[in-house]
Amino acid sequence: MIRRPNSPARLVPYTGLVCIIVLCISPVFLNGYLLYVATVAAIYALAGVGMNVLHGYAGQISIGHGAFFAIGAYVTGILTVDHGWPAIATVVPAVLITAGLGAVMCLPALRLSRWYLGMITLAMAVVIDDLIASDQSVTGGGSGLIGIPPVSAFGHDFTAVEIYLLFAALVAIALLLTRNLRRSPKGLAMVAIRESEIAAESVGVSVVRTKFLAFVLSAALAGLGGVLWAVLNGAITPDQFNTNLSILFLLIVLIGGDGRLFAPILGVIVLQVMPESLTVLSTYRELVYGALLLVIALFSPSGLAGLWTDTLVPAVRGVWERARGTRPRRDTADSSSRVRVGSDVVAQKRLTTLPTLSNSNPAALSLNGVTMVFGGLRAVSNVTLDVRAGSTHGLIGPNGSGKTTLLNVVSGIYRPTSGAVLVDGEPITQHSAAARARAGIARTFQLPRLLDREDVITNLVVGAHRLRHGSTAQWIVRTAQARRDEMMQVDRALSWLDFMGVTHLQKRRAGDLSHGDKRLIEVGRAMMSEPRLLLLDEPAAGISHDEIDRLADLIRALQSTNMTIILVEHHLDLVTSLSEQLTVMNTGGLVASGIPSEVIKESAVIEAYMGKSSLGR
Amino acid sequence: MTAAVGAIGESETMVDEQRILLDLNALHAGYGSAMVLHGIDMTVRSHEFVGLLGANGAGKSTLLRAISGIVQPRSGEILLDGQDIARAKPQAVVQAGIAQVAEGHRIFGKLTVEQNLRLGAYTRRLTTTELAHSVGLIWELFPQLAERPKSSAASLSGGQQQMLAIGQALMAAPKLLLLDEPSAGLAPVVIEQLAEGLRELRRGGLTILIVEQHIPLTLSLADRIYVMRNGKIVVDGIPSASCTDAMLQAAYI
Amino acid sequence: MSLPIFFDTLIEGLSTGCIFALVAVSINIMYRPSRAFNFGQGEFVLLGGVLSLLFLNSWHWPWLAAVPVLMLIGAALGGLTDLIAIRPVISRSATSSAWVITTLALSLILDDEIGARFTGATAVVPVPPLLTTTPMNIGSAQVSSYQIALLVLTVLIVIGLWFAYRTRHGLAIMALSEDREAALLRGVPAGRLNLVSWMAGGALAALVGVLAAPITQVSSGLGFELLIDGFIAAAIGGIGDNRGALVGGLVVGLAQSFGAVVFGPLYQDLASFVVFLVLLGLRPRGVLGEARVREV
Repeated sequence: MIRRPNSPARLVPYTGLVCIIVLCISPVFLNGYLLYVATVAAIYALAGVGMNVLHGYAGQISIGHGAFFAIGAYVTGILTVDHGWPAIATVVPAVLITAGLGAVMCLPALRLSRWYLGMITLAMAVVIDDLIASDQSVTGGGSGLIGIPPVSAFGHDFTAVEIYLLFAALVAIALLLTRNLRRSPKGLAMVAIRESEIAAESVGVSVVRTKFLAFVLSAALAGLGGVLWAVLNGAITPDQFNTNLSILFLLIVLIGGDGRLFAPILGVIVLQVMPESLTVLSTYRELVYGALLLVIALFSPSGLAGLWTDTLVPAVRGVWERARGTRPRRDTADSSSRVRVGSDVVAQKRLTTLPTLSNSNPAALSLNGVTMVFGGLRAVSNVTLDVRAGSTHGLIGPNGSGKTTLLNVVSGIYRPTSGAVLVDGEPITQHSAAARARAGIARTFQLPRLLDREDVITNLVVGAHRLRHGSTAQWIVRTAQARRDEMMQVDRALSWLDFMGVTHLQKRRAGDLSHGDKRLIEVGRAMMSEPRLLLLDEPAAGISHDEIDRLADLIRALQSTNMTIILVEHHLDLVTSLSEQLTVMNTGGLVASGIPSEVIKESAVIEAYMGKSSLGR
Repeated sequence: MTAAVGAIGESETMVDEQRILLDLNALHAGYGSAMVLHGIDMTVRSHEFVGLLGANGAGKSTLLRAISGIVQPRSGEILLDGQDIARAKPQAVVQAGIAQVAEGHRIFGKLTVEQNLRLGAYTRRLTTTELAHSVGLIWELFPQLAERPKSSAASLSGGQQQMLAIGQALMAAPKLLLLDEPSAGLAPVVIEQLAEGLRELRRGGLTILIVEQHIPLTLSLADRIYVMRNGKIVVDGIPSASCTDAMLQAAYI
Repeated sequence: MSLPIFFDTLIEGLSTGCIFALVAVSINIMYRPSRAFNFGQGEFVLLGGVLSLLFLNSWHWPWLAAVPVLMLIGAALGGLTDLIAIRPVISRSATSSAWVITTLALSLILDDEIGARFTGATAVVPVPPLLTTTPMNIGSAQVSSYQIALLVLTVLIVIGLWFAYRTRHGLAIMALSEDREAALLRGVPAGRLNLVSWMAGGALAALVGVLAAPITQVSSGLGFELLIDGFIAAAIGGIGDNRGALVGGLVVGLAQSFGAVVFGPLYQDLASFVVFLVLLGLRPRGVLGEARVREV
């Protein structure tokens, strides 16, 4: 996603791009009704671009964006018809009002389950629909507003073709800007949220704030679409904006394909252009929408674009290469392979040493009387622990001993029932998980939480979230500084892959990796943030013997950079050989703590693991 | 008490002691991309108490989940009394006579103690009298639970929850009882009580497969031991005093 | 506000509140074993209402004969929804939210079919025997026997369900709702119980449509409105909790009726929506809901 590899077989998707461009220019040669249909399609595509950010990138569901569209249209209508504003001046207030309403609307639902937002947006759409239709005084009620001035500039009224080109240009600009957004740290944050909110938090993403941004942005684009609609039609009535419109917007991005760049274009072509050209279908609109939604959700969740890139392109590429007599390309561990970053080329360096961490300022961790109670269960009981800066501290204990819970208290997923967590003497007990990640606490999970649908490089770069520079605005425009920052992070990611010996995995989808490789990538992601404290949660679980050796080497290399590491493990051999200090937990409390070789000899420890030897037959 | 416990495993007879009840052949299983079991061969004979040891990540829980039908094996056989249940759904496995006490004593906190037990007998379709009789047998086995039948299960202590979980499994009148780390998170005194209860069940004729990290507990209870490591069986034998060190080595180092 | 108007608004709010409560209950029944919220529930209720017009007005069936048949149709619809929209989604991934899209899809298809066949004519729907919608005077209030019966029936249904969830199968469903895997280990047939629940929810939804017909205007667009009101009612009380749904439904009904009187009929939907947002902000888990621990 960050970069496009250089290969002749990639001509196939470029052909797709060319087709789309041709399709978008062609309405210029039409006239009358078909040109109107294409212009409407462009407007819907604009709203679709917003929905793509909300749903495709951030994974949130909204069934109410038709309301923002309506409000945008009505703001323009009211300001022009009732107050004589020129049409162009209504754009800013319309966008601001819809963005503001979007902000208010999504706030209550952002912390709740995904489908809650869907329901609330639906409710909002119905309520607003009602209000618009009933309120005679402001909105003209059922008869709507007429007399909205047409699109004009410098006294010249645009022709239908010019209007189409203008709107299409706006869509193109929106596509370009959202493409840049996708590659920006904020965009990566959205994708992380879609795949795993917990993983997103663990790299420092503010989940609520990011979802909020996606929602407000999409609302603003829908509102802008409404403005264009109003000036295109000159007259607006409530029945143009019912719940079907909201569903259409969602459908546009679903058909086009989850988060793909051209999803909105593909979506409107299928949904708007085709049915309108075949007027028969338009009478069964709801039925068609329903059937399409059902088929897509059940059979092709990545939509048509997904069908294109995941099925057709590889198939065609395979045929092409077989025809040329070469074997289908496999990922090779080519140490001098070149990688494209946008239009830049980054030559990869061959490394044998650990990528230097520019920040080796390890943290000291203290836990004071930490207790964690869930309902009736006392998972962690009065644990006091000190971890020296730069040391590796092992944490072991049988199942149910509370070690994972303790780790979760340190990383911020849980707030302890009582007690304090201090980093370098400063209490962080009430800090959120994301805030702690931004302060330099990185972690891995018992079951790797990667961004399954993204490639390995993206998974690594997202780990550097807390180090990224540049405001969202700079990223959307892709200033030189932004591009340098991106190049640096990709470079670092490649260095890590090379160091771990898995450069060949860079383009692979994270979800397709073996368990051991997923583990490795997760450790890499944690390292990308240049952490001051690294929490490893059973990294050796479920991986093979050789992979455990590889893991041990990696941890030793990390230790050489003087990092503070907390290692929760069951693998006694691994944890005792790597730790400078070992703590044993049992039934939520500390049993022993000290030098590993001595601790494992302590009778209390043996008892914890093996029980009293007095248990006889 | 022995008679009561014997009545729970009502289909058991003492006759064919050497009959193979559970037979795993070349079992491979995993989750998504992670392969956890790499060809498991294991047998449990009728009335035996078999122990399965191993460190975490060895695949012990996955093995039990495969037997119970929660995880679908990739290949291999799971034969219960000769019938292959490898592809069977969890309900069918319970109906065939295997009940599992899962890791972390997963009882239903929102239901009462008595409701939890009644739920254990779901597959048996008992009349009210039969149900009360079966519940009564559990009260005899675990008097602590009998004292508070209407309490919410969430309010029980860890040890009591474990007893409730075992009681739940017994309510299904199983031929084979699977226990996944029943001693986890329990204080040593409670583990003693647990061991005693399991010995009672054993004397009553129930066939038991216990998965544990607690070596002495397992050695004191089991007739035969398997040791698992990285998804494979590495040791298989009869426990004796000299075995402990070998077990420790095989499982952990 | 004068006393008679106050009581009228109160009675009105309680009556519609019963309808909303029952919609919420029907959604909860489906939600418990599946953790999926049927976005098509409003259409199910609408269908019950529309079909009751057909059975009772056009075909002149007696009330007591029509209702069971309509409930059977609702059950069939609920079961179909489970098989097409829920089961395939859950089997692919237990945590997927794709059922939002699939149940929404079915609601669109249903809405289209209903809209195509129902012309929107409002007719007077006959009520069950012995009851009437004519109001009687009780003190300063005007309440009809139908409204009283409706309230009584709603409470009875909630109580009845409480008992139902304590039977063998009911406990199994509660277990599924709390810890799916642990329930499977006890031999609970998740698929079958889910299907039965969705059928029961569908049957109740159809019944609600019949019950609502005499006191609401059956019109297109009612489908989504009922869905939203039902959702708000369920959410206020905590999704999955039936006693909460009763409370939530009455709250929504009263908010709408008083909102209509105080701010004007145009704003009644807005009134309940605002009340909901405020309550959600204060107690996200619902009035009776409990906190959920995050699992990592």
